[in-house]
Amino acid sequence: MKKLLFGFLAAITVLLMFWGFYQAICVAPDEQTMHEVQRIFYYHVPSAMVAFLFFAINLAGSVCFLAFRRNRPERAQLADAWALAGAEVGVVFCTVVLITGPMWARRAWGIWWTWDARLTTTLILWLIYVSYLLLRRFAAGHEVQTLAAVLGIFGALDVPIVYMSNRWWRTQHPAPVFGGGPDSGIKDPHMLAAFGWNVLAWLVWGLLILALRFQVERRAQRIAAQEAQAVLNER
Amino acid sequence: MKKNAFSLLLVLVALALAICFWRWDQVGLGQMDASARLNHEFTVAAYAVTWLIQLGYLALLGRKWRSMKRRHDR
Repeated sequence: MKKLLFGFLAAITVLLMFWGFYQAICVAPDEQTMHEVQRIFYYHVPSAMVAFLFFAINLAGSVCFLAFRRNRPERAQLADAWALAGAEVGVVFCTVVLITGPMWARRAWGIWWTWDARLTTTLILWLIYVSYLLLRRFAAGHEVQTLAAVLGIFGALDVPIVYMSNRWWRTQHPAPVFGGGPDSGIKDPHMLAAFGWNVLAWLVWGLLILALRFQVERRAQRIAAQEAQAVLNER
Repeated sequence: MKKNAFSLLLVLVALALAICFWRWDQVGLGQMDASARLNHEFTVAAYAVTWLIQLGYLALLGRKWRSMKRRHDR
């Protein structure tokens, strides 16, 4: 039953992805100044939104891990699995943001990269979570999860800075599309629909791979616990 | 069989996407000026890279899942 539900969700996700792609390429009109290259926006912005959501999941998981690690170890392991899954899938989406952004910038600005506040803070965010994943991958010992949780909480502090950077500082990055004053927002209904469908599609896709990553980590935790128990039994 | 279903689905999605990208890349290239052609190619590249990263990660997750399952069964 669980597998059937997962298969059904996966099928819905694939359909949504294709529908979002069709909306972005075939339905949404060309933007007047940037023309076709503006369509990168339909993948770039939803990826950034989903990355922020997953870093928030990492934050929640890290806080819960620190809160439960002494009193409720099983609940702490669950929170840690969510934190790790959130960070890893968040890094995947953030990588998409950091690659598609410069591709748009090359055509719109004539340069691949500039050290403006939005771009720099996003790169720092990516580096923080990559270091989180490297810590999880290569460090050993029972304090790794605690150290990673603390790093995850500090990493999450950068998310609001990234979000507010083009409001607080003058940046080359375009002004906020939503919530950036009276002139912000998408005026064309077809563009708005294409954007909305792609946000939904990438969100559902992201949640699906987040659930998969979480399951992989839970299985890894169970195997580690069994192996530790086996070593104890041998003694 | 079950193991292969995931790989098969992944390959089918990748193939369908490759066809979509190829068709999209060919559309109207003949009538485009140099700037429009560059815009078109950058857009196609950005979309293709996005899919490559996402499907690559999914494939990596599938491999991890399979190796965990093998370890668990042992």
